[in-house]
Amino acid sequence: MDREQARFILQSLRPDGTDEASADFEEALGVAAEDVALGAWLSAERQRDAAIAATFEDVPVPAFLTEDILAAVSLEKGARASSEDLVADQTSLREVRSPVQAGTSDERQMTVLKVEIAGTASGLASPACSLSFSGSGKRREGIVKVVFLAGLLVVGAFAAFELTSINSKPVASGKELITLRDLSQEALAAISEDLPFELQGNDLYSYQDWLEFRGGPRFDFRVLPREIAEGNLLGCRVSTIGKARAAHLCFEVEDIPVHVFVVPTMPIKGAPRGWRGAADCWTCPETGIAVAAQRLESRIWFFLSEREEQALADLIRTAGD
Amino acid sequence: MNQFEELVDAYNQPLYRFALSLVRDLDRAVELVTRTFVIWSRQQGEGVKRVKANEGLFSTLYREHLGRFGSRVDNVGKAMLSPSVAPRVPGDLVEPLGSLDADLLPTLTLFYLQRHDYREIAAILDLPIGTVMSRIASGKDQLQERARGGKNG
Repeated sequence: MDREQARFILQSLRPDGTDEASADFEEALGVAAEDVALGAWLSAERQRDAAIAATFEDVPVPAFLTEDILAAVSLEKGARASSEDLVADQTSLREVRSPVQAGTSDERQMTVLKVEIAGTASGLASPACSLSFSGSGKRREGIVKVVFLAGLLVVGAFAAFELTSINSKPVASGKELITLRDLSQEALAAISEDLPFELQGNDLYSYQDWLEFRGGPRFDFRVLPREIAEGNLLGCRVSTIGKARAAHLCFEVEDIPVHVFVVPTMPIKGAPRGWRGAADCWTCPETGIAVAAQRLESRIWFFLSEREEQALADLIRTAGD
Repeated sequence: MNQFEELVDAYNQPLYRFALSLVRDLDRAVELVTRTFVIWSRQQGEGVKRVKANEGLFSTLYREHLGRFGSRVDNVGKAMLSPSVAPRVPGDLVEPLGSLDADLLPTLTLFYLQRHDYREIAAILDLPIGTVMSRIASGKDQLQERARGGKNG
């Protein structure tokens, strides 16, 4: 091995010394030990490499990264559980389909019995039964196919099945899926309690540590809608929404309070797959408070105000600007 | 702390730094790392053959990066950044290798993160070992040239 070959190989030697024991570098290190010029080059090279490697250690990592990862993985597991339920449903539908295709009246009677059993079992115990029959288009399409195959008798059985399923509470693998509207109701209930804000003041950035210390979610204040962030921050407290710790901030914007709740993301019933884009906007008929909800990335945001629904929607349109 | 949380704890920082080097954008880097763990978790759940986390996570992140952010791989496995992901570097972003050519960047970043030897880097980036070695050499030359240019300029 000549000097240039050794130099080429030694350029891949990590500066922390991890590779020194590797047989891959043994010969090249031997050449450098005997060649003074190459040895000097290697020494300088390792110092330079160590300095660059150290700059990577200085790259700041967002404090909320771990929390975001765990929330996203938890969300994905929830979605996966739902799709596994779909497979289970399709399996039970296949069981229904084959005797129906045979077509004798005795078999039809047996089919009805099977459907009723499947319906009862799903309605009471299957995690995804409500999703199957009131929410998901694909599942509904699957049901329609079976209905055509089964004939009128089975249609009747399915109608009864659907009626009982819609009334049953959605439960996914022991974890209830909640709608964005249900969560909004919890935020609405939280502000109706009129609890005091434990932290008061107008310095938005001093709130991060305070929230984190109390188990509230970390979030980037820069994604607050500009007009709200520029309002007068009245105070902050930690609340509970959907069984998760939520940050509750209250701003005064043009003399009208705007409550902002930030909640770690969670599986939302009826939301699009993934964690982007779920949104809801409505006005509480009892209180007249407009509520806007958005699930963006790893956080769910709720904005509540005694404004017109459209005015609130316009106010939060600047989110993330 | 369960096993998965330990994994996240051990790898989220180097993965983030690798991601940041690739996408040059804080939010995208967070998204990329998060996706990486989601994919990893799903693969474990589906019983996909277990590979070492130290290689597998970085490899997953790199493949996800190529697939998601408008990047593509040319016929010699060279990662190309499309114009749509031309770096938009915020003022406060620290990026040690920001001046490197895009095709050298993943190799050099992994090299300086010091978590993998050159063979492992080759496996992560799906490149021949010789290519990785020559990219490390070229990348270092480029950094030195630019450092000299910076001093002179």
